[in-house]
Amino acid sequence: MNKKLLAAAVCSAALLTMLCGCGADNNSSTAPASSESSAAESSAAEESAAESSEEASSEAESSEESAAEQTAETAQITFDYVLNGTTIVVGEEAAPVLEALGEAESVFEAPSCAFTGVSYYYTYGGVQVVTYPDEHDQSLNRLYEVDLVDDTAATNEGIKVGDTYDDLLAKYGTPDQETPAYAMYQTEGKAVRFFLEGENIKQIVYTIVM
Amino acid sequence: MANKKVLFSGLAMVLTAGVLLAAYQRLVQPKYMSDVVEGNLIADYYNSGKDHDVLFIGDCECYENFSPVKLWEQYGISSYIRGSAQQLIWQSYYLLEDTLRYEKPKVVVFNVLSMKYGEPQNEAYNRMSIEGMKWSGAKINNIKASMTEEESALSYVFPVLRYHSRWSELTADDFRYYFGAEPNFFSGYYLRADAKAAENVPNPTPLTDYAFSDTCWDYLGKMMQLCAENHIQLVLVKAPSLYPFWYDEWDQQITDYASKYHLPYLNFLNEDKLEATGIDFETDTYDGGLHLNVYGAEKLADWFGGYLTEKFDLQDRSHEPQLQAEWNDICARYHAEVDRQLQNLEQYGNVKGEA
Repeated sequence: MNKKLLAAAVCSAALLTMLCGCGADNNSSTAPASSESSAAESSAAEESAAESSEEASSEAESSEESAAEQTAETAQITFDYVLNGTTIVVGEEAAPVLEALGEAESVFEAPSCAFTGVSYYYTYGGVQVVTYPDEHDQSLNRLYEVDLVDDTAATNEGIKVGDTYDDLLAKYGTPDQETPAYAMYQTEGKAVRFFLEGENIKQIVYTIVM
Repeated sequence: MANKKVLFSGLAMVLTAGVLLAAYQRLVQPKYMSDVVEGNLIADYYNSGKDHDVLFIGDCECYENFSPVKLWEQYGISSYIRGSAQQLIWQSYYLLEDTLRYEKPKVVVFNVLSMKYGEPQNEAYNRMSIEGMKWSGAKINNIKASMTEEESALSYVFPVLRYHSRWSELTADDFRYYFGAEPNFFSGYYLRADAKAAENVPNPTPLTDYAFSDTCWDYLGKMMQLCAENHIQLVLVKAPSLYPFWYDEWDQQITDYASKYHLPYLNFLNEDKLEATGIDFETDTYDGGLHLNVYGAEKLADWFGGYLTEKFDLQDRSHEPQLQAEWNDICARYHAEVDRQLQNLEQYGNVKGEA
């Protein structure tokens, strides 16, 4: 009988050891840290960041993939915004870009509910740069969005808030997606959206897309 | 006889393994005491007296913006906030179902921000909204509705499957609170006594689609129906949080819905409500306008208590001995917590008392 009890204890210990052991490879053991941004958005941003880092080498491939859907004009669209000589690639790590941009005129902090991650809104004149905490590492913030909120800032193609829908078509060509409220041009993982009020552009947003 | 012995030994072995596994499971489950205390909000309800006239359901805009203690002290209204971080609307619905197993409030207050999420979002928030629920059909349905693609239902039944690898991250809290958490909340309210003025609130980014999803409308309809079946008044509110943004297009959809079904809808961000409640985003928020601090939450409860009393004929129950005893304890802890946080602010510059 004692042997059987011993066997039971050994089996139980073995079971526990298996559970402990298999966890050693799993780093996300607690409920994963998170932000108000959805997991899907974060994933999309990560994909976007990975693509961006390989942008130069994959530019030709991207063009081929989207050629069927794009007009000659839209093939020239840039999806990375250049502010004061600094290129902002949505999805990429925020810190180096923010350092290059220098001190913002204002900063708004949006802490994640219950977690330690913080989303930030940095304002540089008519440009608002939004960052969010990485899904897996909340100490790491990524670039989420660049908003052009007034006519002091223009896209790399020369379109700014207040321009007309016709101005937009002349510079960007046919949108990939549009409604009466917005026109969107997109490439894999990234997009630039032009929000309209009547015939005029009221806000321009560079953002990650799922 | 030999067969019996084998059977007995086998049973003993299974039982021993089960007990050890259960003990291990409890050890590795997050205790949510020093960090992310919001993880204990849902389970905390079962320690309450379960005799509430007003039930709040919703996300952080519920559990950080309304002070149940003020409702009690000012109006004798017994209330509870079954809130949790990023609580999705179907989670609110199933928490309502769960609560109705224990009591029948006169008024249910639902904060409508979660209408913006039409799909499961995030495992961490799911866990905090669901794991604390006692087992029932409501919990099972909540799990089914909430799981992201990466999650498995079995890991909610046996949390050890999710948390087993925490063995290498255990802290003193995991042993100290092994047998249960200490009360951190005040009838579901998360208290903050510090202040950080709302400044530089950014321009909201326009959306390509403002329509709430069919899923959200379905659950709002189910919530309304469940309340009607139980003769409960449903009240829709949008708490006075400046961020996340509450778009005019969203507000219009809720206004139209409320009007169609004759539901009260109070948007506390509207100018007239801000004026009526007296909320000042210079002094009444602790995180720059996302959530109110205790002073803001008391102002909101002060106005809202008057509204509830007047509109739904809620009685002052402060003379009832059983409620009195329960609320005396809650109020004493609440005021002591305000004092503790203020002392910490003075001594350390933060409410947690971190040097």
